Amino acid sequence: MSDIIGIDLGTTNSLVAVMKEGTPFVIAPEGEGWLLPSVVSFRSGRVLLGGKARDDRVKNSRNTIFSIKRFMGQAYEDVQDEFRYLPFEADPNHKETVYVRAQGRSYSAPEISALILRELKSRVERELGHPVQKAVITVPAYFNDAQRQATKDAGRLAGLDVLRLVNEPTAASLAYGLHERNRGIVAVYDLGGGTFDISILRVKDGIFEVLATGGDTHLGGDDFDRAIADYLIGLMNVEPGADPGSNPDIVGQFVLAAEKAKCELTAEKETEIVLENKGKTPFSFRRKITRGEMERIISPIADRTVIPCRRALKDAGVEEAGVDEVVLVGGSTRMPLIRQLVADFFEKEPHSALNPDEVVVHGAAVQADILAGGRSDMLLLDVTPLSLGIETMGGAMGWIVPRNTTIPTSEREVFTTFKDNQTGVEIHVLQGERELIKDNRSLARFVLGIDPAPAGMARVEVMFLLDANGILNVTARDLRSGKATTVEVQPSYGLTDDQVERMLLESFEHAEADIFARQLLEARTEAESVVTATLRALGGFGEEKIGEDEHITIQEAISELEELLECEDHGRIRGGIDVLNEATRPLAERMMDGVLKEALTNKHLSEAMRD
Amino acid sequence: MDRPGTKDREIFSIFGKEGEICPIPPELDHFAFLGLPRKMTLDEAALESSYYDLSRKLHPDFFMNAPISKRILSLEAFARLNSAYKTLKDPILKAIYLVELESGKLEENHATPPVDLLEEILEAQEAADEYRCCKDDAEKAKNVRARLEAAKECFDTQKAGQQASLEGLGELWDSAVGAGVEPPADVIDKLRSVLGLRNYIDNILRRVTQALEVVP
Repeated sequence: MSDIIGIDLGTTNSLVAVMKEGTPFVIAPEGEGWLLPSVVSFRSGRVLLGGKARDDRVKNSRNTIFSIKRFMGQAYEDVQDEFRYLPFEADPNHKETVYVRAQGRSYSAPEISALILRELKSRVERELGHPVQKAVITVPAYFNDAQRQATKDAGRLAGLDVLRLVNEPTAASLAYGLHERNRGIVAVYDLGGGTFDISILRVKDGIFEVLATGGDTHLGGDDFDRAIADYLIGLMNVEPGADPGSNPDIVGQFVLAAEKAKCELTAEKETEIVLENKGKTPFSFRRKITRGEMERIISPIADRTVIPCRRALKDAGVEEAGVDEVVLVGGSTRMPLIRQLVADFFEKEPHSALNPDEVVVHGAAVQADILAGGRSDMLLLDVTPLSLGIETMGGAMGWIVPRNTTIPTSEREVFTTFKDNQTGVEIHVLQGERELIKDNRSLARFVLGIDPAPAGMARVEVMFLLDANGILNVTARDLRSGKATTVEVQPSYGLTDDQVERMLLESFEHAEADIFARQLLEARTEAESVVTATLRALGGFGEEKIGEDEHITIQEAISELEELLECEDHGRIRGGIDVLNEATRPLAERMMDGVLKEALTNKHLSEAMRD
Repeated sequence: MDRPGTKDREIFSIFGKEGEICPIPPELDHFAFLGLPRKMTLDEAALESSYYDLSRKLHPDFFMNAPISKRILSLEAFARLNSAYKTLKDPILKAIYLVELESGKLEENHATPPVDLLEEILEAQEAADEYRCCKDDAEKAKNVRARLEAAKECFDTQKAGQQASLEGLGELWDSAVGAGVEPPADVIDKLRSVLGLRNYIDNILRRVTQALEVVP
């Protein structure tokens, strides 16, 4: 059995699974369902999770947090409007990232998600009888860099080493691939509690190649519930001047009732909504609603899924009729309205042989098994959902990695200055499809110091490296001065390392083991980046520039560091890093000279003229 | 480690004697990497199967338990593989890559388009800008739209012409390579000139199309 767990961290429900004898196995404590509701309730002095917290959405509504996934990696102003439907509050003092309030304290979205992840982790540990640390977590395919980073942060806070973030529709296709060796072009339509994804894949000989993906990270069952709630509130008999729509408790109860009615109308043609509130603001409400009536309310929202579908097909170079199979994923695809919409669009009956709630976590477990070395007959080739680039003159977007590029990938571009004697250039990293940067999502900004030069003479190389998680790493170098300054990007939305550290210290179970594990993880990460840089340098320089002795010394230092990585002592790993740095210093000095000479011969000037 | 070759996959190996992953030499070209002939038209099935085959050998998923130096090599090798596949899958990117491989960077030769093309482009650009501003003047809008549509037709025709000449030149290129000789200099020159102008035509076509869409 692999000791890497697969997690589906959902808007409404979360699940955890492991592989047992080649089959994904969802883990749940006896007497509890497989689905862990993604709900956290803060009572004075204790925290309730999942099913136990769900009743608190009414009883302890101000301190019960749900649908937190919608706020992962988001700025306050992006999601401010949503709080009208939520009985809990956002903390307006935090602008860059959303913090929610409960029991007089503020919590970031990754902190809340970490509590859910911790519960899933301990479910597995109770079942297996030993601790687990490594995990694969699924994310919506259309999640941007900040949302992915936030998910990784949540994993870190929960004491998990997140080996991989896997896109939910792709995970689902892996799960299907396990059962029936399907081939050809597959469209995965994934409509969950808060997010929508469409992915077009080509499946052949165990390779799952994503051709294109699209979606909306704020479109799902929650939005249906809210629309139905608004409609019902509009039907209330109220005294003139009263505005029940502005009372978060009333809205919250209507949203819950709407959700219940929506689920009932999947099988039934009609249902009755009954609300009796004897609390601070007493009211009562009773009304029958038919499926047709509900569908009229929500169909404009459901129709919003069509545009991403159309674009994904176009990007994949596939016609509607060219799709061989359509797979449905996510709880919202149980609705007859959605099934009809998908069948009409793809002109094909969609199939959902596997339970749409579980198929994603099954896929996460399969991917975990692949990473553990358990199977090599299946391979996922995924893409980045959104284009990446930097700000160029006049606020235009200079694209570096186009959307739907297979990851991992690295791309580089050379840019130049447009003013004489600039001493620095601002590298503003953005993600999105619009031509102007103001319409795209800003991910990070940093300044690279350069040597003064006439306009158009400076040469700044920007390299984007997207890893297998779809997470971006940007480095910029001044090629002309040879200073080779390297800057690693910290996402401007999201948590800084310091914040994560503080949260770890403040976390509910700030066991020493957590801090130790993180220090170890960080030492290992740094060792990796030092080895990467060294190998890159060795590869870039011919053997004539590196003496045999020097080569041996460096190789030995690398091997030594690799051996140290097996140990659990971050101090010894740091020692190994120092030895390697010392061994490569002469080489680093010569490299700077080399870059300088290359810049002076100016052989790629035309590239540098790109604006 | 085997010495890398630039033209022939036979003498290049990603794996060393012990079966361990080795660095991909920077001078290795995309064709050699994928084990394919340096031709303008490639067997699509062979390209795909070579990509899948190498993916199975190089993807970072299969190196998670390897020492970090090997993991990094796999990440870099796979990123290289992806850019090779992306380039060779796309007819235009492939043609540019192949021509540059044979005769150096393209942009240097075509810093500015020929005067007559430049004039057409400027005219179309002006019409596109004007069209966005004259929404309220129906008579004028009708006029400008007619100009824009004519420009679009003209550039569409030029694009189709380019497409046809790329195909013709590609065939000449491939038959030379097939016969074991270097592609003729005049074929290279013509390819360079067609590819050098492509961007201008594509950009202006995009602008014109966008303008026509914005105000239907």
